[in-house]
Formats: sequence, C-alpha cells, structure tokens
Amino acid sequence: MRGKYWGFFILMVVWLKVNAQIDTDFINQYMEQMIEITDEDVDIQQLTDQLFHYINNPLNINKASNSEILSFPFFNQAQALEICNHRKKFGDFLSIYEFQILPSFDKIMLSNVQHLIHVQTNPITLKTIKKNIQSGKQQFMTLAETSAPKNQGQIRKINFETDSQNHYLGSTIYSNFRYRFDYKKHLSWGLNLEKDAGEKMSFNTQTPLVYDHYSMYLSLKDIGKIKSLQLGDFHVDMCQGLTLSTGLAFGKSSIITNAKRNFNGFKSYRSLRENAYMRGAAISIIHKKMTVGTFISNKKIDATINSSQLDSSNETNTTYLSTLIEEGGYHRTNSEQNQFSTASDFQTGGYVEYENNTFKMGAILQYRKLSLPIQPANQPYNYFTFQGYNYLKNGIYYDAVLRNINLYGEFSHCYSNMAHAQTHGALISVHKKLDISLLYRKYDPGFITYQTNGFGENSKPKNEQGFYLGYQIQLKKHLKLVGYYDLFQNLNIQFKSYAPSRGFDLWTELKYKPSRSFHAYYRFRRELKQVNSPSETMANHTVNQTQRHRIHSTFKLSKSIELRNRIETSSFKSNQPTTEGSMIYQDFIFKPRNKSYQWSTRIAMSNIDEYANRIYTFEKSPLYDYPMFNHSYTGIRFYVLYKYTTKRKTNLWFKYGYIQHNTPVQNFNEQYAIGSGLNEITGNKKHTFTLQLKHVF
Amino acid sequence: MTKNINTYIDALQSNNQQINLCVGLEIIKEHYKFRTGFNLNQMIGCGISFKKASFLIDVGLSFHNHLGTSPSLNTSYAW
Repeated sequence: MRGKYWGFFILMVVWLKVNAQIDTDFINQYMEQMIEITDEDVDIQQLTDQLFHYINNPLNINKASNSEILSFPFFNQAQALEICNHRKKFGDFLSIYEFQILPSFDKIMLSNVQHLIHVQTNPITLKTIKKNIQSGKQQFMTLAETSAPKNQGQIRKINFETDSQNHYLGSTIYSNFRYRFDYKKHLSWGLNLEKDAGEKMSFNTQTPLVYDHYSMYLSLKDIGKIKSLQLGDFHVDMCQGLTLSTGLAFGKSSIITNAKRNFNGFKSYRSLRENAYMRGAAISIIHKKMTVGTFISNKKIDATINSSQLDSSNETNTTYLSTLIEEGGYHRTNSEQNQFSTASDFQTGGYVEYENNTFKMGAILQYRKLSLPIQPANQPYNYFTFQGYNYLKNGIYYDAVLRNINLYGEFSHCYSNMAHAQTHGALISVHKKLDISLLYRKYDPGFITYQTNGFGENSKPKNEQGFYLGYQIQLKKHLKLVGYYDLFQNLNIQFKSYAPSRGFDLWTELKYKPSRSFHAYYRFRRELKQVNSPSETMANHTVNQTQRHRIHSTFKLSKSIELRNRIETSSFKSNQPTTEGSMIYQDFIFKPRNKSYQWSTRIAMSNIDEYANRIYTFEKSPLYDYPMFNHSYTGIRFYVLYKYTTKRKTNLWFKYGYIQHNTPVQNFNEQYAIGSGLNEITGNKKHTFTLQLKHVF
Repeated sequence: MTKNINTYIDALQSNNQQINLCVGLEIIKEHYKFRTGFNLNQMIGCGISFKKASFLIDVGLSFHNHLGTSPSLNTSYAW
C-alpha cells in the first residue's frame, strides 16, 4: 500500500530540503496564539521552554506514547489521532514524509513540523550519553529591567528617615540569571536566579546566592528503564491536574485540545514562580507497559502567619497560616519579608501507570504536611475550605484512543475532608473538517486546591460543575470557524457570590487565511456571570455581562516586513450603567534576511472606562520575558524591541516601553495614576527599559 | 456539511428577550445518528438515534444550567 506513495515522497524530500531551515517563526506564532487566548496568568518560562525544546529534541514519532503524541503542541486533534491510529495499524513510520498519506497533513504543515519530529529508533542508554555528552549545549542568559520615574516604594525608601511608612528595601531593577546544560532531552542541569524589582540583593542564610530566589536542578529522561530522574527542584504534573500539578496550564480557549491536560509525570523546574515547585528527588521507572514513580520534597514556603487565642480563659496563642502563597514570591518590603519561607512543607507520594497502544490508566497518591496549620479567614465562603496541618489526596485517571475518539478523565479524592473532584472529556475528530471537544467537570466546594490545575471557570477546581463544548470547523479551504460554549454553576457560595450562581461563556472565532502572507480573524466573546449586587446588603445576584469583539489582520509586505493591525472593543453590563472599552494598534516588524538584527515596534491607543473593560495584548518581548500587556487605562502604549545576533551564537535583546495615561480610570484615583499602592508612580508617563543577553556554547 | 454530517442553526428573537441561537450537529453512520448541540439559553445536549426499517429509538441527554439534567427516551414505529 505504501509503495505507490514513494514517488510522491521523493518529490516531497526534494521540496522540503529546499526549505530546510528551522522555522522558529512558526513556533513564535504558535506561542503568541497560545498566550493570546488567555487573560489568566501564563508561565512564560515553562511554555517557551516546552515549545523551543523540540528544536533540539525532536519528538520521536515511533517511540512516543499516545499521550506524548496527543500532547505534541504543533499537531491538532485530528492529526494526533490519525498518527496514533496509523501507527497502530501499519507499525512504525519509515520516514516523516509518510505523513503525507494522512488526510489531515498537507505540505505546509509538514514543512512547519519537519524539524520538530523524527522517526529514528536507536535506544538511548547511559553509555550513549557518556559517549556523546560533549555534544550537549550550554547556555546562559541574563535579563535586567528597570522603569522610570520612581514608584512610591522607592520614594518612601529615600525619605525613610522622615517617613516611617512601609517601603521597598532594594533597587528598582528586576534581574534574573539562568544557566543550563542540555544533552538532547536526556540529560540536563541548570541554575536559575531571580530578583524582583524592589527586592534587596544581599548575602545571608535566606539568600545564599545573593539573588532573592534561587533554583537548581539535575534531570535525566528516557534513559533505559529510567523514564525520569529529578534531583533538586522539579515539577510533578499528573493527568488532568486534579490531584497534583505544580505547573501552570491554559484555561478555556479556542484551541479546543487545551481542554485536555497532557501532564505526564516528573520534569525539571525551569521557571521563576517562586513557590510553585518541589525540592527533593523524584524517580519513575518504566518496565514494559508499567511505570512506577515516587517523589519526596522538603522545602520552605511563603505564607502569612497569624496568631489568636483559642478562648478568653486560655492565654496561649495559637499560630496558624492564614494564606499559603502559591504565586508571587515578592519580598520587597518588611511585611513581605515576614512571609519569606515561614513554613516548612514536606510532601511525598507516587504513582503507578499502565499504558499500551490504545489505553492508559493510573493511580496517584500525595501526602503533604506543613509545619503550621492552615486556617483561612473566618468567612462564610470559607466554610468548606480545608483547615489543618496535613492532607492526603489520591486520584485515578484514564486516557484512551479509540479510532477517532480520545476519551480521558480523572477522579480525585481528599481523605482529609472527604471531598471529590472529577473531570471527563472526549476529543472527537468527526471528519477531517470537523473536530469536537466535550468536557464535563464537577468539583466539590471543599476540594483541596493547592497545587492543582483542573479545567474550569474558576481559577482553582472547587465549587463548580460545568459542561464544555468546543468545535473546530473547516468551512472552506481558507476559512475556519473555531470556538466553544461553556456552561458552569457554582454549587455553593463563594467570594463575591453569597448564593449558588450560574453563567456561561461563549467564544467564536472566524479565521481567514488565503495565503502565507496574509491572515485575518474576527473574534467574538460573551461571558455572563452571577455575582453579588454591590448596591444591596442581602445576597441578591446581579448578572454581569462582558462582550468583546476583535478584528485582527497580519500582512507580510515582503519577506522581511510584516504589518499587524488590531481593533478590539469590550462592553461590561451589570446593574450599573454600561461601560465600554476599545483599543487599536499597529505593529511594524522588520526581519531582514541574512542580517544579524531585527526589530519590531507597536503604537497602541486605548480608551477604557473601567477595569472590567480591560483588554490584553501580546507584545514581542525578549525570549522568556512575560509578553502580555494589560490595557486598563485610556492613553497610549508604545514599544520597540531590537534583537541582535552575533556569529558566535550570542543574542542581545533591548526593549523600550512607554505608557501614557490620558484620563483617569474610574477604579483608580483621579491623578492619572500608573500602578497602585507602592507600585504607583508620580505623573502619567512611564518608561521601561529591558536588556537581555543569551549565549549558547 | 457532507453526506453524513448535517448542521442546524436556528435563531429566535422574542419581545424584550435577547436573541437565542440554537446550533446542532448530526452525524449519520449506517443505522445510527449521533447528535449534539447547544443554545444560548444555557443548554447543551447530545443524543443517539437508532433506526431500522420502521422502528426508531432516540436516547438523549440535555444539560440546562438552571433546570438541570434531563434524560429522554423515545421509541416509535411507523407503518
């Protein structure tokens, strides 16, 4: 059957070799698309690392498990399912050009991914690594960022002798330093250091490496029977993220495969999220179709400590943690310093997994013990929230590929308070022109959400039930319709909603791509949510409606010049007068061929009535730097990014950003303020300077 | 959309109400029909239909955000 395709393959080889240049633009575009679809927090270091990782470590299509193929970010749902089924039916692929016989692959798609996949079958052992370790790559990277004028935290620091108020202890410069060594995906080690703006650099027991945050790792992957061995700092991300997931995942989006988490065990921690990782050791061993893994972690964690008397007759104070800080990691002021590594955090657990060609199922167990008990604020919405020193969670999960359907799910259970959470989904490739994603989830109000990443409307998987329907339809050759409809209910009261509430989220996007040099899309989003009415003291819901329209176009004038335009509007309706927001931008990107430099620039104008109308945009930024910008004001945004590459593989990025607030925003004060609290600056203009250096050797 | 896939779209505007849009999809495979769809009045549904000769069985499940889940079973025989 394959024979008749070989003539075609040879032609394809010739054509593809002509285009044999790694297309990082394709990865950058994908990353922009991924980040732009969410207004939630994005772990940019993790995402960038994950995507660019495939350049030096192409995915072995013949050796990869179904889960790895389904989680390969550059395949869509239909393509991943077709590869799994083809492999099961005909055995290993002989060449990547064999992909051409799969209906969902075309030559453009194949040329985009050809350097990110391969079909070799040589086994990797420790001996192979010892022999070839010198071909590994080292890389160091450092970034510094500062802004002007000074913010309140800095001004108070200068006037400290006359002003006893809280202030920043360190300089205005944000800085990080990263070093890593990688031998393909099999062996890597690295060091990451970070200091946030306002934090002090000093040498003491809390900060032995001078920087406020430090992290080190050693990682071995897929070597003989060792699936993963992690020493130092690492992530544990399992299945659908209900039982245990220390990384970040994307929320609802028009990329319908994002509804499914493709977490797959232990991996090194390379991010700079200061509390969201494990510190210790983890190992997973694979034997035939069974994998067994275990981990142990012991570290300090940031938390807010409070104390109280049990009752009036007892004079002994009880100390407890009112907040466990999972995000942020700021230690800029004395009060933030008091939260620095205040509690010790011991965790252990493991998992067992069985996987064959079509089916995967497993079980996971986690035990966590803190040095002080957690006791959240005494509010009605915290009635079911976990309290105590330690907890035990377990979960079971499954992931099956049945022809053109991928079924997956997880059921998780907390022993400590007998709460459950479950999610079950299906990715269905109905036709080469139609993909559907369905997902049902139900999370108890008391479910323990520390270190979880469940899919849903709320940021954490608790107190929610919902049904998600995503679709992707190829209407015509150049016209595609994607989107989702999600219904959700909050089963109990929660913050800002003192009664069970409901809502929905609708997203529709029409994409038009007639050629490689032009594409455009129109996006519509409508969200409806019940919250407390601000004007009434009793629990009485009002309905908040947010509606957004976006038109975006990208046009390549020539091989080196690209223009991008966008218009976006948002409206917010509640029981108050409707507020509006709008934003327009023009990008100019210049990438001359065979030159060592490139630059891009943007001018954007926004008109925003209040914070609820804010509009997020993706900005070109130095690699690994956070690229999202929040237009939550009326005024101007301008930036220019310059990138220079030397012949010795050194990259230099310089970015200048400018913000000007023209009129006050209702939610802020009336002085055209930029920032709030200690971050607020004087005046209505802000300049930001970023410099990054990367060297590979 | 194709020989075996049908899509349905229905828009309804009532007085003083927001427009309600219903979208449905039907996939036909021999004697079976698989259906799924949603309307903006906060409802998602799906179902399977089996037809052989004059005999028809329909099984469906709809999930409404306010009214809850409603299963349904219909059988019919036409002559």
